[in-house]
Amino acid sequence: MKERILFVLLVIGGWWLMGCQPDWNVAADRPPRYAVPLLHGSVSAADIIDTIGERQKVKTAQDGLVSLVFRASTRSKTAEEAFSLPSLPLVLAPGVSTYPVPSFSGVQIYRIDCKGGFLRIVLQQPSAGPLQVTVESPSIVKDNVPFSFSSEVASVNGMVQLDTSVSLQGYTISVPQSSPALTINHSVVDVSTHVPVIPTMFSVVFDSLKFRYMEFSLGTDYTLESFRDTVKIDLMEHIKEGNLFMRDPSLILEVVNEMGAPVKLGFSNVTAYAAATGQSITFLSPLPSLFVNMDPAPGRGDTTYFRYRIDTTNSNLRDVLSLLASEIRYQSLVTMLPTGGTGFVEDTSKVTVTASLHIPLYGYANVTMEKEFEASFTEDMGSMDSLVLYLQLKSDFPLSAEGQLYMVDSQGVVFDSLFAQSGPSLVISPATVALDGTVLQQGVTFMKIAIGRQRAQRLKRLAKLRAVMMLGLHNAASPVAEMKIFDSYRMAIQLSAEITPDL
Amino acid sequence: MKRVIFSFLLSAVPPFLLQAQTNVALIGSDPLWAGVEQNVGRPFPRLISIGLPNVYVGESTTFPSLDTLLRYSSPQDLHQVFPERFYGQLNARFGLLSLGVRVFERHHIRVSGEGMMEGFVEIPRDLPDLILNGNAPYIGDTLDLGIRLRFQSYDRYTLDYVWAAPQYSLGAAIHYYRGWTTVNLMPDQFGLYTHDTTLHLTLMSDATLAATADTALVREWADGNVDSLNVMLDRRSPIGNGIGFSIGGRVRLLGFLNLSGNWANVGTIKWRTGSVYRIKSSYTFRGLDVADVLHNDTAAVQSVIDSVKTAFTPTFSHTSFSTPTTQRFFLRADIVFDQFSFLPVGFVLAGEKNARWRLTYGAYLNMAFLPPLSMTFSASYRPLGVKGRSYKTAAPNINWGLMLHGHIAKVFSYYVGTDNVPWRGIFRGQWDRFRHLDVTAGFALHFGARNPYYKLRIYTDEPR
Repeated sequence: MKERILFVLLVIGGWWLMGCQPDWNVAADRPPRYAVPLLHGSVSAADIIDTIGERQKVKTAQDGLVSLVFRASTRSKTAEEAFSLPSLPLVLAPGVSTYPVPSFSGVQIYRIDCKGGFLRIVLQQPSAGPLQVTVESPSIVKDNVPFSFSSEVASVNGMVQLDTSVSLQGYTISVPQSSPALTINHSVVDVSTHVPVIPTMFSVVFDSLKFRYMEFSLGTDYTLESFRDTVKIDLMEHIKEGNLFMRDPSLILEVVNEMGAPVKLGFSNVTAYAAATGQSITFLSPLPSLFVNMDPAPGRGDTTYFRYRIDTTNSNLRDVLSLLASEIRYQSLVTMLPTGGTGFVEDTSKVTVTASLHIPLYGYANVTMEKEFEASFTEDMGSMDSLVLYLQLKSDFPLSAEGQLYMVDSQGVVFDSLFAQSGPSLVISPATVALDGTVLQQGVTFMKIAIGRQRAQRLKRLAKLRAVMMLGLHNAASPVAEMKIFDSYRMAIQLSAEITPDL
Repeated sequence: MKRVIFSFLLSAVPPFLLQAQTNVALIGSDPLWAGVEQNVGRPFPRLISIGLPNVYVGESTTFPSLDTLLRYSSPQDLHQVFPERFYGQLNARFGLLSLGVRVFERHHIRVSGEGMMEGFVEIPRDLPDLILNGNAPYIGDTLDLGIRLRFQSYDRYTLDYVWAAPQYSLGAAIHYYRGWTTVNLMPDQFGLYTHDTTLHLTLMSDATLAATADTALVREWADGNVDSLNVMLDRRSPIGNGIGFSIGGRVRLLGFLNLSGNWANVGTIKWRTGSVYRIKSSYTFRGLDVADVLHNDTAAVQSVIDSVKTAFTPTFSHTSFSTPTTQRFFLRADIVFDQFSFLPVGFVLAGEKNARWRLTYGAYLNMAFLPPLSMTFSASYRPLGVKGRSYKTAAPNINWGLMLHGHIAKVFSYYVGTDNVPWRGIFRGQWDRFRHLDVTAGFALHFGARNPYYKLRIYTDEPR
């Protein structure tokens, strides 16, 4: 009982408290301030670059040198798309069982593994009684069993008519390469008299054939594809001006041939384009024309591979990049060459062309980058009285950055900037790095960014953020002294906040 | 879980807005039967004393109201005005029966049985400070967020003995406790540290929740089901045992000074079965990992939550544990002139220990004009109470007490009183003053010859 009394007292106490109606306004002019960490950790060059855009990747050399890789990849039509098999009709003649396989577009077929298609059997013969129709072919085999069709067809109004399609899925149609002819045994017999009949019309049609695998010979060139492709260098798109010198860039063309036939590729019209200046840049010899003959794939599932490297030894690629090229464009024509024997293709066989631009981060840069991106605050900032952000960076990179983030409204008017002053502020202090890449002293930057209530209110106008960044990659001695970026370099980040909620 | 417990406690504690809890009036008066808390070393007035049912209910707290807290919400004010910890307690004794006999002139033996209820909660000042001011003013410091609480109820059976001489008497008692139920939240450490410059937050915990209840009930309670507390408390059979002692005595000095002292209810109860949760861990939150954010890893936030949950998963054991009983002491000095024995003046230093000792100074005036009605006025001061500026909703530091006591027909004695008279509530109709609750009342019967050792004498020869 006494415990219950205590419990009742506790409950009454709770009620009393709720009826207390504290005067919260008393403390309204002194809201609490909470200090909390937001982000921590360190990132490598690869971590940063990977997140800037989707096209570029990061590759690390054995010595740790980081390269940017911009890649463009395209492919020819697949064999199934390139070789559309026409309908092949054969009129069956009495007593004849061998029928040459017709060729199309210079393609002589020796074997087809069907994944679809039909053999359509058509018969027309005046007859009083039913006829027994039989079609068999040792050239068409499924699981070692030759194709066989037999049916008794009734007479209707003195006429026997047959028009039926038999699926060829799973069948292999093959003919000898020495004499590419199909063997088809056929007969039409009167059921009542058992006497063979010579029909007025009797034919078979290979219809809607789809191959999984095909063997063939090719007498002439067969054009597979003609296409254009562009290697987009995202980072360059945002560079407005500046000096850039990358010591050893390379453009690598790679071709993979899955066709069991020789293939010729022609690269042409290789040009570069600089978004910053709007000018087209011409590549020097041996480009812009390059022709490649590739051997057929040696067997099913195999490929042949071709690689061609365009670098500073055989082109003006370095100068092209120094002119702030943001795109490299090329045209390619893929042609299948005469086989000279038996060629083969799978239905998915294709020719793939990949162009990769490798830019080892070895050189110097003094560039101004600018990028605008959509941004708006959907969250109500009214719940916050003020926010002070503290950002501390400790950088191993011999890279300095000054930047500013401008806030732009829907009319394109800049109404605020992240840093108080209108111009760029120091964002990243460069580390002091020895010639061998050893970090002698980290670059340390500390930023305090205050967002008060009025500023938070202004953010409601925000439509776009315009980031302007001046990047410098060089050592302290000279703006054209070359530096390397190694994968061991890291940037430690510590972002904390002091938040004053609005009660 | 801590949040739920904290919010529950915060909602439950403020009605104990009391400042007194000193027993000054009780100690200063002569109510004859008030258990060992009064003075175990004092003889009975007659040959036989029978204690009839009596009750004592006392609450005290240093909790200010929310209004007050808000008014002093800057860190400087809070630290200037409020003590390090806010403290609230509820104690109750229900005396059932006692039987005391004087034997062989100087020897007194008494047995008694009482029901005891003790509860306290201690909330560190840093906790409301964190809510009101945030942790930003305390970068580089650790905020103490550990709430301590204990509630326990038990029966106390006492055998006490008093040896009396004309100028002094000594007494001792042994107690046997029968425990019914208890809930204990005892954080040795529960703190939040905000690191310099990085503002990393480290939450440290070494806390134990021990209760004489089924695991499921404790979990329910921790999850916010307040009703489960009721079920936890509603126990049908005792599951704890313990022993304790009390000692006391008094002496007459210099002809006019009575000194007395008492240390009561020093003991421990061992609870045979219970649910014990312990969280001993620390976790430092450094913010989200930059790499996770760069790679748009949406699971990063959940990962942090999971890490905190994992770090602060309590270990559970179904085991016995012990709790101390609430002990009290007082030292009392009475100035008594035999020719004015009806008007003694006394001073008291009293203390009570739940989590830690809390002290009270007090003075009283005993007016015994008529035997059937004596009055004791008392004033007490708690140095550990709310100090500094005065504000209307806070309890005063000075408490005025009044006790009425007397004899009827020389056999029947009674007392009823409080250490904190809600004068303002009575005279101004401010009934919220009755949050202060500290009352005691009881009856006793006394038979047989008068006890010459009942009052201390200045003479050393045979008692009159």
